[in-house]
Amino acid sequence: MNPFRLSLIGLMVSAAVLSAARGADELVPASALRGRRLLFVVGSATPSEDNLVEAHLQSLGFAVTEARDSDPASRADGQDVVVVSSTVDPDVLQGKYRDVSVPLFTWSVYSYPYLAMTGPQLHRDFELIDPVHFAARTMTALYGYCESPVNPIMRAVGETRSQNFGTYYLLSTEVGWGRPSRGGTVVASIEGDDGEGAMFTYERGATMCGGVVAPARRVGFYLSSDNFHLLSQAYGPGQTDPRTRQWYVGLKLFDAGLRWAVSPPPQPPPYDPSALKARLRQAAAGKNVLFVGRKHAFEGAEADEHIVEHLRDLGCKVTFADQDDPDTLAEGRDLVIISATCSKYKLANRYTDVKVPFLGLDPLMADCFGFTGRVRYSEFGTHGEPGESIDPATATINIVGSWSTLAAGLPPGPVRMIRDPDIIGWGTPGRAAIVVADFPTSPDECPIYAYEKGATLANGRTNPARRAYFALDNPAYDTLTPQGHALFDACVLWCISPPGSN
Amino acid sequence: MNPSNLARLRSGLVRLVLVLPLASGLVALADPPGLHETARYSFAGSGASGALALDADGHRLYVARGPVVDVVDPDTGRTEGSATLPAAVRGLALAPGMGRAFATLADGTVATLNTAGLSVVRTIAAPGRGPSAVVYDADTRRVFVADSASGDLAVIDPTTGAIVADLPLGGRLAGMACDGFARLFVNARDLNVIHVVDTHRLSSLGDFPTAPGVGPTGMALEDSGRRLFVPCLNGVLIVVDNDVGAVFRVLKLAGRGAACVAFGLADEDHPIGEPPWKGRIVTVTRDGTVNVGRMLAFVNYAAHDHFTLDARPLGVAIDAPRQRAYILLAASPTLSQLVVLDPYVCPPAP
Repeated sequence: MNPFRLSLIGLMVSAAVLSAARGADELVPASALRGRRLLFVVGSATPSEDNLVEAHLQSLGFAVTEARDSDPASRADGQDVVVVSSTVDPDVLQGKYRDVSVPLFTWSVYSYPYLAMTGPQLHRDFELIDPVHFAARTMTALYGYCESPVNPIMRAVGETRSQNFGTYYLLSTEVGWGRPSRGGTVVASIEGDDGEGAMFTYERGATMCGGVVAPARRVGFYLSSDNFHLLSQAYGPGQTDPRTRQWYVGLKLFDAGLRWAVSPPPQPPPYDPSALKARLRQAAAGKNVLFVGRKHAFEGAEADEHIVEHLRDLGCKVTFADQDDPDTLAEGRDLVIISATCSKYKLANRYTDVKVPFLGLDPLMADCFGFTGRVRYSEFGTHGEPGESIDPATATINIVGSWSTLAAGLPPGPVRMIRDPDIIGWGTPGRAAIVVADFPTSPDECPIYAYEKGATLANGRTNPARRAYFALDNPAYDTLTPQGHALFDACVLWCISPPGSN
Repeated sequence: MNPSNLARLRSGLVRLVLVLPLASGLVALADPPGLHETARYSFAGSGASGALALDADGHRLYVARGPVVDVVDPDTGRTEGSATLPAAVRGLALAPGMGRAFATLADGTVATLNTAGLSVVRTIAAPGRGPSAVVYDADTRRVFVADSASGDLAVIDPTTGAIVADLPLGGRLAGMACDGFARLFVNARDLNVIHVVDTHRLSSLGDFPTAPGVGPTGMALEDSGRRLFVPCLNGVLIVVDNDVGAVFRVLKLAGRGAACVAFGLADEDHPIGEPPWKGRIVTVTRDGTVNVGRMLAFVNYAAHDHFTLDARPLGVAIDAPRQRAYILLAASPTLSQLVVLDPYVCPPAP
């Protein structure tokens, strides 16, 4: 066979593998919206562009049924998606659709707390910026920010990197935002605050505010009652220029958000440590892992040895490197693991630029790798470490990202990670991160999270390969519960799996 | 007296002179107050069809009514010249630098006139059956003729009369404008889009949707070439950012039916003769309702005032420096009338 044909076949196989791997977070095509049943919940607030929205929904192919805000939630039965307009009276609608297991898309900002999509505090958890009281802010909010180009919605609209875009046509108009829980995802933010979600989502199974678990996908969008026609969009010749195309994406985001809402959510395997280990063994066989620790560590050396043994038992080829060794050792590896036995100071920025998958275990190094911001004890730190934390030792973390395979199939809610209360690290990652767990009493402090390849790290850089963070203090590996072990294995498996796969 | 007050006084005097004929009962008083006719001139002859064009300095008004094109002094309404064409005029455009005018005719031809002597230079057959809107593009020095029947856009070399190209754009074409940046915009009334054409390459660049406007009819262009004003059959005037095709303002129109529209950049508070900034959009619907929209800022427009005329409009033109709008009316099958009004006047304080 000639070399050209061989390489062509290779390319096709790669594309097929990538496509299969990406399947989990791809959106249904626009054509798949045709005939889908959509319940459009409206109220009587004026001015209103509900008629324009409804016409647009119909033009997308939806079979639209209108409901009033006073109607019962049973109207959602049999629907493929519920869309709630901001013309509803939030106090009439209340939390009716909070628990419906139908995807929901809304721009009723004042309904966010009722729907558990944000906390309850106006201006802190959610806000509708209006041009009467906040004219300057509405102009600022014309500039949205794409938090992560690997977000499936942003990918669908063609954003190729984290960058500004135009939310509306350039007029002072109402803009809504909500601050989702760490279980949610900020797709687009405004005003330079990455938590101010102009558009945000919850995956099915994600933990929303107040511990409510999303029964189906949820989308919050920045629209208001009378400015649908201002959603940015370029037509005709404007579509030929990539910069113009990537700037005027307001209407595309609206459409892509709907497509995401009705797309099949990921279905991670249920919690089964032995099945997980079997999958990991299959994926890890022959993988070349660099384990970076501190030789002759006073504390944690034994745990490091056990991690290495575990990886070898899974079939990995593990090389142990000292913290002082050059980070060029990472080149060509399938995975680099940085142990918490390493000294942040002595590691001296090694491995910050590695372009291979990466698993970090030391909470206090989170800033070095762009996992978090740079403010120690505020953006990263530990619980239960004398002299380092005012928080008591703990053994329990709170699963908020059960939809991700990183959660090892564990259900949402508290889970005992280590046998007895001890030190557990945490970080507050950027909004492009997948947050697997927080603490039951500290929802912004996350002991397990990850960044997809291509996602924007907290330091603004583009993540060159999958990176996960698993808070494991030096000797803590040996105290992991079965659930803790499963979470560790899930992190390793995710890191060595193809980017885009769940 | 400061220049601003002087300008207001001059403006007031002009209005006074123009309104004097009101006393003789020649014209009806405006309703509601504020926006009103300041003069009306009558022309005997066919009033069923026609078009209107104003020359660049506002000194000559070309009034087409049936097959006749008159040159009219807009200050007095006096006819200074006349030409009779082979068929009724449907569209009229001037090429100021060339001393030419171009008219689309009901018999499917396009006539070229010498504006100096108002003589017919030539007529050519248009490629389509229904040539309607016509514009002259000073940038490319070409004439563009939209065909409302075939959906074709004919491109004519005005010096030779040769048809350079015939672009099948599609739809019932109605209303057209050139922005001077190599782009031509053409309404497709039945497709609810504005076709965008590259006037240099003579190729289609795509379409702008007119939604929420349905049935775009007329078209006017803001002076900088970055805003289109398009009245639509569903009773709205859409304001389009033609950099990206975004409809960002929708003004409700009083009145019904297809409309003609004109834009003039000026400000009632601005001294006459100085560079203006804000402007007015004058839209006249088929039932004779005159709508005046106001440009408050480059991104901000509002419906301003309206009143009703007693006949169907055939065309509208604005002389912004002199703060006048001219509306040609089909008063009867044998009578055309030219109405003059000041669209820049503010409505009375409530």
